[in-house]
Amino acid sequence: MTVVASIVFYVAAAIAILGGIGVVSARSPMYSGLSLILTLSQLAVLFLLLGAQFIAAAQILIYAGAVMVLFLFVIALLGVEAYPFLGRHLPGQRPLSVALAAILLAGVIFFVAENPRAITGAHSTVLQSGGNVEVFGRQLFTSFFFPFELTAPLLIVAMIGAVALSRSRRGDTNA
Amino acid sequence: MQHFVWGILLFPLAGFVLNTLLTRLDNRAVSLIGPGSVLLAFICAGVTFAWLQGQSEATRHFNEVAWHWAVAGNFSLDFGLWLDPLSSTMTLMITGVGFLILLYSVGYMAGEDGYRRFFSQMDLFIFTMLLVVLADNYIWLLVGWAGVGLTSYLLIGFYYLRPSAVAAARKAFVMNVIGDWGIMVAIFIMYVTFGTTRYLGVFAQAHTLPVDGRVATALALFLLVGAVAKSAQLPLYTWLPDAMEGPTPVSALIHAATMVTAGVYLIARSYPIYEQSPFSLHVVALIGGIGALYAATMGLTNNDIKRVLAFSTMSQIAYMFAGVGVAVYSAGIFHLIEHAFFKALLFMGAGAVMHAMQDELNIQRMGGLRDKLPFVYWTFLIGVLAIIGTPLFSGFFSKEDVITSAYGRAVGGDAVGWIVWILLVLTAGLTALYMFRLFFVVFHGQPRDRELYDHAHGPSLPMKVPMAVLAVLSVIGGYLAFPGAYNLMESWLHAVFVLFPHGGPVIAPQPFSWVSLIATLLLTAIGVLVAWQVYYKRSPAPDRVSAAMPAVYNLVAHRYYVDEIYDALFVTPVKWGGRMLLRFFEADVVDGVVDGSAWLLRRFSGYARRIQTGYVRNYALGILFGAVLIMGYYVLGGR
Amino acid sequence: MNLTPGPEHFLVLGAILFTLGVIGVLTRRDPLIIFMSIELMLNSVNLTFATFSQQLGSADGQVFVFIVMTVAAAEVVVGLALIVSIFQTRQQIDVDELDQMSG
Repeated sequence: MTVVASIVFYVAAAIAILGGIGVVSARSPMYSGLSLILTLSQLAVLFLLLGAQFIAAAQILIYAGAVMVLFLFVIALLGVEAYPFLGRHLPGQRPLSVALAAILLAGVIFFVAENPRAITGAHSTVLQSGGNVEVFGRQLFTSFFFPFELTAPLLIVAMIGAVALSRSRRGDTNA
Repeated sequence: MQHFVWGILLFPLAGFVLNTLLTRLDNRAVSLIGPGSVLLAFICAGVTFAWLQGQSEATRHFNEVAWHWAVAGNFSLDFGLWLDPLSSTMTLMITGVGFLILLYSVGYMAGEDGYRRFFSQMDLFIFTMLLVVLADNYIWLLVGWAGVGLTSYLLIGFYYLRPSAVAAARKAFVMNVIGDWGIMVAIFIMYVTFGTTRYLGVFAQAHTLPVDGRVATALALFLLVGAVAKSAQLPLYTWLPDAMEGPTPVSALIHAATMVTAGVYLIARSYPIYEQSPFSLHVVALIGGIGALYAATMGLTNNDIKRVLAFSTMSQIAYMFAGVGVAVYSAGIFHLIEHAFFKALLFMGAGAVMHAMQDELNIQRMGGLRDKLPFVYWTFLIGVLAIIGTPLFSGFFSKEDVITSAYGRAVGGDAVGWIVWILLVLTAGLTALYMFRLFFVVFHGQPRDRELYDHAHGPSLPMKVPMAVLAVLSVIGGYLAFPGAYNLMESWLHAVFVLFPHGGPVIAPQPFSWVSLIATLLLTAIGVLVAWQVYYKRSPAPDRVSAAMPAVYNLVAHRYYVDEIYDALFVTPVKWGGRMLLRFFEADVVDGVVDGSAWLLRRFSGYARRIQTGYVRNYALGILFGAVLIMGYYVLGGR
Repeated sequence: MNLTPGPEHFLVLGAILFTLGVIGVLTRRDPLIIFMSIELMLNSVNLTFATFSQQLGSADGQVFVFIVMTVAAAEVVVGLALIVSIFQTRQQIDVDELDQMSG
């Protein structure tokens, strides 16, 4: 990678991690959501660095755009109420979670550090020479055609499910 | 040709989709689509059957991989169809009997709430059941396997406002998942051992496994877990009687004719694996023999018309297990087919009786229905004669095939063969007894509930037609084989069981034996006579039966004093054996074991309960803990 | 230590984001934040997929990312609808109050 690309990587990575910390630690869900948008946008930059142009665009359009707008909309709808970190119910949940998560992270870093380039295969010239979207599309509509088609019914089912779930039933609303 | 194979699978699916999505359909359209789609599938099954008939034995199968579902490394999960005489026979049975039962449902379910839901779920069931028998690898078989479990759950809980139905559905589902787990483990072992889960690959390599080695036995036994759970055999049988909470056509189709026999199909299908493990085959045969007798005794003491039939189903499937267990797979499948005919007929009869009696299930409130329901009376009689193995009725030929096979094993010097044969012959007598008890109590004697009796009415035409067809089949269906003369079923299925090399003996029809035949017929006759004596001639009221024949009545009512016999056999001799021994045995061993296990259970469940905090985040922590454990395994060098 | 970003840097970044998401799911009580933490985890996995995709010179990984995104979108829609519907019936959405499954 060039020096510029390296700097871009480190900046984007730092912002992404900061955003991630923000998601987890913010008091109010509104701040969490905004931090998540930050992280997701930086991930789009990282996708570009990885030569995945289509995914980067989709990341911005679908995630940072549509999905997060939906999130913020629901947050606004339900009212911004801050819940304390942990209730009275679960002593030990927090330290245990952090400890176990740290072990998990340490394990992954251990694997990566042990043989850093183990997964290095032949670098594809096609993917890096800007022909990415074409290759991606070809794959999507040939070998992965069936899963791709299945996403359509999945989205329809999700949509119908959401409508059915959030439709206010008479009598219930006053409860 | 291949289009017809796909048609078998896709027509019921289309029926399901139409009946589910078109919510505005009126009931007439629903009753056209529901059975109609299955009829089309039946026609396709018939065409493919004829095609297979035209093939020579070596090429008598069809395999087509439709698409690659997922590819990971050198593992490829493909969706493909496999059609050979075994699956062809099964598809004919499923679609044929399925169509008749759906036709019957048109009359039976008329006017019920959820009419459309019923038919769409029945179509879905038939689709998943066909997937089980047409899949060309174990993973897709498992998909269908879980699918029939799901539809069975939905249909047992069809009357979802009734708490008992919901509980029964849940129980059936959970027990079936135990079976799914068994098959899943078997698939893992298969993949590790053979590198594939397709029938072609697995069976071609199965004969290389060491006989009775660890792998072959583990594979066979884990598959058996699945078969036992799905087929309601010992010890995972308790869901079947409860499953009778569903509508009667459901009991007839799923819990008598098709789904519960899938276990037999699985074992017959996996014969190259079972042939490598004679030990597992013995286990299968013993489960069959013991289960047959066990279920028959329970059928004898029950007063619920559908539960008696459920126990008899369990008993008859145990016969099939015994048949495949002695490695005469064609006998097991033969009985499977014949059983589908007469058991579906019996359930239809039971449904007609329930309809007439305003959904009364207790046979002690029926009686004398012969005059009110002559049509049901005669068809039910044919069903009873078929199931008990009356000569020249279908059950006779298939049951004789199974029993003779066990006898052949026994005289061949197999001790397990003797045990199984004796159990099966005894069960034949008991079958005659409890089926005729049911028959006499329901249809003969005096009406015990005047009001119900007076309002009794006969079944409607859509119910009568399938009953008549099945009654005919219950008589002539057995002529596919004639003891000692010919066995069309065996020669038809022969191609299946020679396709792959296997370590076991060459599977051949067992020689006909007069000893076995006469013993079976004798005990059956005794069973009929006892039933005649107890429930027909002296039937009027249970108390007079008990007064007239206290010994028999008490024996039956107390479930054969099994508990008392155990007491007498094990506890009393110990008591008389000596005070010291008794004290030691009772206080330390028996009490220790009993109390200890109770204590352990209590403690364990206490801990287990505390884990169930009800906080989702707490459960998620458990998942994380598991992930860390798996990672730790790899970090510490297990790779 | 090689400071030029290679695949291992992307992988470690993915692991860090994933861990943050795990901690969020396990320690927060607001279902909305839990949901966003799950999104964070999904995205970290997407980053890993994209890394491997580039490394192995195959677009398969990117197809997976695409499908994960679709599934995530469906999941968010249903999940948010559930949260709204729970809020409508109970007037609060603290996950620790949803403990009817307690044994």
